[in-house]
Parts: sequence; C-alpha cells; structure tokens
Amino acid sequence: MFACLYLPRRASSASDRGKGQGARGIPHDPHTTLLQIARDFSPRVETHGDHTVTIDISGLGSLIGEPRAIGEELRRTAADAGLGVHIAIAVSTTTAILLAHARAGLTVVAPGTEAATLAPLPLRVLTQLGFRLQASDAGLGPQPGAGSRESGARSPEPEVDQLHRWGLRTLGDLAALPSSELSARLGHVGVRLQRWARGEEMRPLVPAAVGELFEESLDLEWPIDGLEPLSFVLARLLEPLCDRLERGDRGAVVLRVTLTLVTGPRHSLGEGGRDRHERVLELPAPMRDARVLRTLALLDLESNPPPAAIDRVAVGVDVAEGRVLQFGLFARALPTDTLATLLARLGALMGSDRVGAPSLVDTYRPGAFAMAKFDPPRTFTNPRLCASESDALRRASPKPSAVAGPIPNSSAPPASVLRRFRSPIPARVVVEQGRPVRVTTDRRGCAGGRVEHCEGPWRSSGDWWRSSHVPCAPHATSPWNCDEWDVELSDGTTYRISQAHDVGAWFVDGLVD
Amino acid sequence: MPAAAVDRDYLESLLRDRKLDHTCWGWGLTPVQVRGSDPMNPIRWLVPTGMTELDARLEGGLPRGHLSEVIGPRSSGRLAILVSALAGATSRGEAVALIDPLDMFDPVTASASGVDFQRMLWIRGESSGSARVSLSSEYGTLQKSLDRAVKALNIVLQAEAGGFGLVVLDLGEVAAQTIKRLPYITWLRLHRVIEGSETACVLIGSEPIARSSGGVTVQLASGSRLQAPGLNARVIRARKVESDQYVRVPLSAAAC
Repeated sequence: MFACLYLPRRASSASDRGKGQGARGIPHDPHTTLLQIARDFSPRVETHGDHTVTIDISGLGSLIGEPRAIGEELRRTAADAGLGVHIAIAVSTTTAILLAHARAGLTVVAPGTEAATLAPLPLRVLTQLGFRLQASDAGLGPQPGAGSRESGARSPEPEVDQLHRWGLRTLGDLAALPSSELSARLGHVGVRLQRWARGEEMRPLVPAAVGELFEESLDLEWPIDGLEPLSFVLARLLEPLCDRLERGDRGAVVLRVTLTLVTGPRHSLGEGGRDRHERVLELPAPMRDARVLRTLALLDLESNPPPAAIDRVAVGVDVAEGRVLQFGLFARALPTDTLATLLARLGALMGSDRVGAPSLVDTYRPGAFAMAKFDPPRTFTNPRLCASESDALRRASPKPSAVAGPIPNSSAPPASVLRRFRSPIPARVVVEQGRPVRVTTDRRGCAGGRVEHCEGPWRSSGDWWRSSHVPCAPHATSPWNCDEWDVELSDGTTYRISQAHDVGAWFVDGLVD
Repeated sequence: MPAAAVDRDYLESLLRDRKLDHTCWGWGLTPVQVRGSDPMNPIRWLVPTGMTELDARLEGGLPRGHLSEVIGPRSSGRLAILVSALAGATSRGEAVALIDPLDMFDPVTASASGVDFQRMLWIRGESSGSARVSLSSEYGTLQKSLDRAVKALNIVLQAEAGGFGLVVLDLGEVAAQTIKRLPYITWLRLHRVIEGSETACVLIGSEPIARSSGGVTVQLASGSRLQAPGLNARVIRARKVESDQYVRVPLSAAAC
C-alpha cells in the first residue's frame, strides 16, 4: 500500500506565514517539513516536486493498524506541524497521487477498486499532474526544490484537450475507451493517460536518498585534559562513524571536532553558555579510516590545543561518495587515498601551505617560486627495476664510470645549488673599485669576512610599475632593482649577496652549497 | 653438501626474506658474491648520485633501505650532491621528498640540475627569522622546527603511499647543538622504520648525525666554489676501511 501526501499551494503559503519555524526557531520550509513527516513513518519515500510525497506504508500495519488508521495518524502529525495536507491511500502510487490531488482530507481506496474510485474524477486532473507523472515514468522525477516545469517532460495538455473535444469528461470515460483505438489516434501518450485513469501502476516506488547526518558525541563523566585520553574518546566516536560511512559507501571530506570545555577563554559560546573549542579539517580526499581520521584530528589538536579541560566531545563529518580506484597490473600503483592521507598528515603537522611540490613562476624575481599540489604522474617505476638496471649496468662494465644511473644532461657536470634565506639578511659590505671586498652581518653563524673572490654583478629589475617598494624581497609583488654577487669569503663560504639600488642597502640572499 | 654450507645458505635465505642480506657483506663477500647467480636473489638497491666519480666510490650510489648522510662545512657541495641525486631519481620516474626544516631550498637553482618538481614532495618548515630575535626564542623555534621535521620524516618513511625512492632531510643549517638535543633513539627508530624498504634516506648536516649500519657517510671538504668549481668527497662506511683521499667531483661554475 502507498500513501500520498499532497500539500496544496494555498496551505503551503499559510504555513509559510504561520508556523514557518521549527522547534529551535530555525525556519523550515513546508516541503522539508512534509518530507520529514513522511520519513518519520517510513524510510521508503519518493518526492514528486515540492508538494507531493509518496510513502510505502506496507510495513506499518503491525505498528499502527489499518490503512485508515495510518492515514489518520499521518493527517494528525501533519496538522501538528501546521500542514493541512490531502492524503490518499491506495495499492498503486498512481491512484494515490491522483486522489490526493483531487480530494481534500483522507481517502482510502480498497484494493481492486482503484478504477472505480478514480472514475468520477474530472479529466482535467491529468493536466494538473500529468507531466509530473510522465517525468516519473521516465525516471526523471523532479528533485525537491526544483521547479515543477523543469523536469523536461512534456505536458499532456494537448491530448487532454483533444479528449475533452471528443466529449470525455471524467477519468471513467477515458478508462472505458478501447486501448487499440486510443493508441491509433493519440499514440503512446494516449495509452499512458488511459492507464493513469484506470489507476494502473506504471513503475515501482523509487525511494529518495536519505540525507543522513554523520555525527557522534559523548558526554564525559569526568573532564579530561590532554590529548592522550582524548585519543581514546575520539577512537570510540570515530569507529562507529566510519562503520556508518562504510555501510553507506561514503567518505568524509570535512572533519569537525567540537570540544565543550569546562572553563577557559570564550572562543565561541556553545549551547547552555559553555565554551566550545571547534576545529574543522578539510580532507584532501574522501576517507573513512578511523585511525587516519583520529590521527589527523589529534595532529590538528596538537597544533591548536584546547585551552581548558573537556567534558563533551562531538565529531561530525561532511560526506561525499566513496571513490573507486583502478590500479594497473604492471606499473607500481600509487594509492591515491593513502597518498592523500600522507599529505593530510603532513599538512596537519607542518601547515597545509607548507607541503606540496615546488613550481617555478614566470618572473626574474630572485627566489620566486610557488607551491603546487603534490600529485605525481601515475607512471611510477619500481625501484627494484631501476636498481636492477643500475646493477646490470655495473656488471656489464667493470669500470666505475659505468655505475652512475641516468640523469638529465649527464654530459654536463651537476650545478651548484643555492640555499636561500627567505628573509634576506641585512649586511654591511665594503666596496672597493666597484667590487665587494668585505661582508659582515649581525646574524649569528653568518658573521662574514674578507672576500677572497667574487663574481658579478648580475643586475635584475622588475615590477617597477607597481607603487610600493620592498627592495629585493622575494615572493613580494613589490618592484625590485638590484645587483647580485656571488662572494667567496675567507672562511670558505660562498654567499649570494645583493644590493638594492634604490636604497643602496646590501643583503645576504643565500649561500651556495 | 657440508652441514656448515647448508646452515649458511639457510641463514642467508632468512636474511633475504627480511631484506637484511646486506649484512652478509660484513662476512667479506662482495655484493655480487652475495647475490650469486640466482636471478631471483634480491639485489642491492642503490640510488646513484649522478656524479660519476662519487658513484664509483659509493659502488653505485646511496643504498636503499638505509639511513645515509652527507656531511661537510658550508658551501662544500652537500646540497649539490643531493639535488643531483634527486634529479636522477625523478628522471627515472621515482617520487622523492625533501624535508626542509628552515625553508631554504631554492627551486630556481635546483631546476637547473634537472629535478622534475612534479615528482618532488617539498615539506617546508618555518623560515629562519630576522637577526635580532632573542637567543632563547631562536633556539626554541629551531628546536620546534627540528622536531616537526623529524616527525615529518617519520611520517614520510612510514608511508608506503608515496613510493618514495629518495628522502632527504636537510639539516645543513641547523646548529649541531640543536641536533644533539634530540634523543638518540630518534635515529634508531628511523633506522628501524626504513630498514628493508625501497627508500634511501639521506641526512645533510655539518657534522656526523646518524647512519644505519648499511648506510654510508659522504664527507665533504671545503674548497673554492668560484675559482675551481667542484667538491671534494670521501666515503665512510661501516666495517670497511676507506682511503683518506678525497675524490674531486667537478661542478658547473655557479648557481643560476
């Protein structure tokens, strides 16, 4: 048996003006309330636009009683919520929907009397909801909140008008016509309209997905202080949560940890006037491993510890669909999930902006770079194979020169590399005959000394069209105009120094290593 | 077959099962002798540095599954060796990781060595601050950066996810006193984590830090980087007497 709840538009408007707020003062739209009432009775609920909901009430007999008792219960619950709904109960969803739209109050149709019950209804009722049924037949039922006319299905209004011109006035008139003759004149639309008029089931009920909340919380008997006891609490909360995610084939993309504190500074005032310490972690990929989630939460809380003892722990996740990965047969697969977990753990430890792949930027600014997401190509080779190639190379030639593995530009010697000070160190440089001869700084471990040898200058400038000016500051958008030198000091250290032309100041930018 | 030979074969097979066959080298056998003629035997995994003269001294490169170190004074070419090795590893399609506690890596000059940044995970610590911070706060910041870097290294080594062929922890500009404050069990734990894995882990420092029994130490001597570009290196390994002579490795003239 199926029950259809139809909320007339005027009732919906009245509900908007009247009891448009939930128990906690949160505004509820009538459709959400209608859907919630339906879900309170059965998990098998299908929506048809904003105002019509179909419920499978097959299992409610033992709980509530006869179909009429179920209908009365539905109507009472809706009335308590401020909704004046039409309710129809029938064996087929088609019959229930048509009757709910055509008749106010509660209508219960005995099995086998669907056609007879529908027969007196005016033919125009098909016009009002025909397109909706047509969309549902095609599996294109409009989603809740979507406009009724957005389903893409065609309204059968022309065919209904034609039937009206033939002198048909009720669904009973249409049901009595011979199907073959109707098909010859109106095609499959006509046959479909006739089947609706007879109350025949067109397709099974398709339950809408339930927007399940993935949250767990625990009130502690005694407040806890520190991360170690908290890790046990988190494990207890996350394990059932991840089991639910596993059953629903969902993965967490955002992890929210809310700790209700006993005392402490008021970061945000929770319910009941108590302080709360909230942390939100955005996860790089959907995941449902309780250990990983717990580790990520603990790493984040280690960096941002709660300021007081905790007496309530709540964990919630925002979910996305689980991911399906296809691994290669021969190439060493890079497990994306575990790589994402690795990056998340590192991000929680070091800061999400401190972990990634370096990338170059299109500028001559000294030391300019950008961080990109670390997402290596999926063509990993097995180090065993690499090593075996190297080993085979070594066996093939006894000469040591054959040992080295392939590197780019192997003919050229490797280049020197710079260690760069992100904040250049101010320096005092003595210049004679246009070349630096002595470099000193106030930085510990970087005292400087006499210049034994130097190379340069290499002049660069850019962004001079901008207004502000920070001389030779890397990663800034300010203009720069400087000369760079490589100087080898008496202590054997080779520094990269630069002079900002505009202000004449010298800086140590880095050291060659 | 004599019983002693059977026992030895059995012992070697057990070591191979745990990827500890490198310990056989201490018995006076070369890697080739250990490997024998059986193609199914595990091989000694190496990560070439890309410097021919140095790889010859290293018998092929830096060993995988071990903790090695490159030590030397400033401007001795410590980073140049590792960047060359990173470039070689990425050119073979391996992923690599660089843990940079003081955020001093310069991608521009490293790109000139041929590092494929798409395959390189760069973990940056907090950059060293200005020269006028107090001594205690600087030490505190350094210690915190070092602690985080070691934790990050542990996470990377424990993760099979990345399939990293080479992992580098750059402690070249971290004061030796700060490193010595770490409990030594830190390095023993890392030895245990990396043992038998396919990853070569290398530490860069100014003084010897830690090296697993199968790892190597590449010691560099100071030299002019501008007048005669190049580096002087020698290899120190356990249970093997090395020559005191340094090998000269040429480098290109200057960083870009």
